[in-house]
Amino acid sequence: MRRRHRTNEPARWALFGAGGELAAVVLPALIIGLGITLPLGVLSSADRSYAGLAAVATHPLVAAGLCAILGLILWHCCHRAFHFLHDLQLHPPRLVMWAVYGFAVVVPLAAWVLIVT
Amino acid sequence: MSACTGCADRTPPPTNLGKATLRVFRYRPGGLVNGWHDTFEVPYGTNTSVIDALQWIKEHLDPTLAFRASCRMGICGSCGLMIEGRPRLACETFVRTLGSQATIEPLANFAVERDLVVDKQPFLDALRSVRPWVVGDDGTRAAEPGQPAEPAQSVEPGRQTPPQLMKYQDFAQCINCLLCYAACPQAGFERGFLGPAATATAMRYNRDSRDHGAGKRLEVLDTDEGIWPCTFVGACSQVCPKGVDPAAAIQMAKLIAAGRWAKDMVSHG
Ligand code: SF4
Ligand code: FES
Repeated sequence: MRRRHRTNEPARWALFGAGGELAAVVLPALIIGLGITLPLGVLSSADRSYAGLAAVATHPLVAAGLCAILGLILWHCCHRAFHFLHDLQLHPPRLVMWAVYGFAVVVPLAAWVLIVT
Repeated sequence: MSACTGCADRTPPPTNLGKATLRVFRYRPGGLVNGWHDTFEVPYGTNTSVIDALQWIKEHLDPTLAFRASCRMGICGSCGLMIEGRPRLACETFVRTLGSQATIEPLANFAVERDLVVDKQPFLDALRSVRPWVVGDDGTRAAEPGQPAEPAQSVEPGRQTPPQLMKYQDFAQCINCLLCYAACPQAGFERGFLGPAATATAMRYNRDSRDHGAGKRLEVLDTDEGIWPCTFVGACSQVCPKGVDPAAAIQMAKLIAAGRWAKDMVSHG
């Protein structure tokens, strides 16, 4: 009979999948929109659009949404990095797992706190 | 009455293409060495498969050479070998397509029993653990692994529509050749990994409209030796000779497991 251990991997994997979707769909749009077209003043003057966008993006709810999206993408990267350790045949203690996934939780939270304070 | 001329008349006679050199892995259990390669010169033609070449070696050069083969037509799944480092069916690989000196080895990620013969038992255990049969709604057909299945109570045939058949037909093409395990890096790292073909077979039955065993199968799939060692490398689907796409089956199983996890969270808080 095979050994059977249930894990919390389904939850970690689901967030990883969500982050991957966002990284593939939302991130390019954000980069093209906020990182290239607006700063270059393609759509309107760069100064005006920056002020307007900064006002919107620092609203606590919008900031929370942005931090959640970027946080999920960070979770995706952390999950992949953690599994890369497995691919390298490293079996780190659980503390490393907590640190890697914790990083993906703490960074977006801290970013949100910094934005709203 | 004229006799049927048959296909044989239309098949061009095999052309002799000369001699090929095969480096064949050898191993004897309990021997002092861990395996070695023997080199054989083999005559080959347009339609000489690697299995034909191995059989020729066995009949003409070394009767002790051990390998598995049966159908010689890509159906039984017994002839999987590492051919020039890639997992392939030896009966579907022609010598003429190989380099001037081709290396033939047993399937990677399995223990070798003798020469080119590997121990398939770990896979057979994995396969059995996912209940590779249609589990009836009365549960009577749902024999525990290792126990004989009880005869079905119902005599009704389990009818299906073509769309219902299509839901699992691709996964049902698996011939248990184990090329996918030989290609999978995770199968090499984690000896207990349920692996691609067993998961594809689990999904074949989960997606069958007549089946009621998905819950029991999930108990095996959703474990740290079930689907979760998979990091979606995808090599399994690339080498599968039957187009089964076991990597997709594993991703489907992950989605089901994640859904069940979310459901458990909601219902148990
Ligand atoms: S999934 Fe494909 S490669 Fe794997 S055992 Fe089945 S037929 Fe062979
Ligand atoms: S001998 Fe049957 S699949 Fe090759």
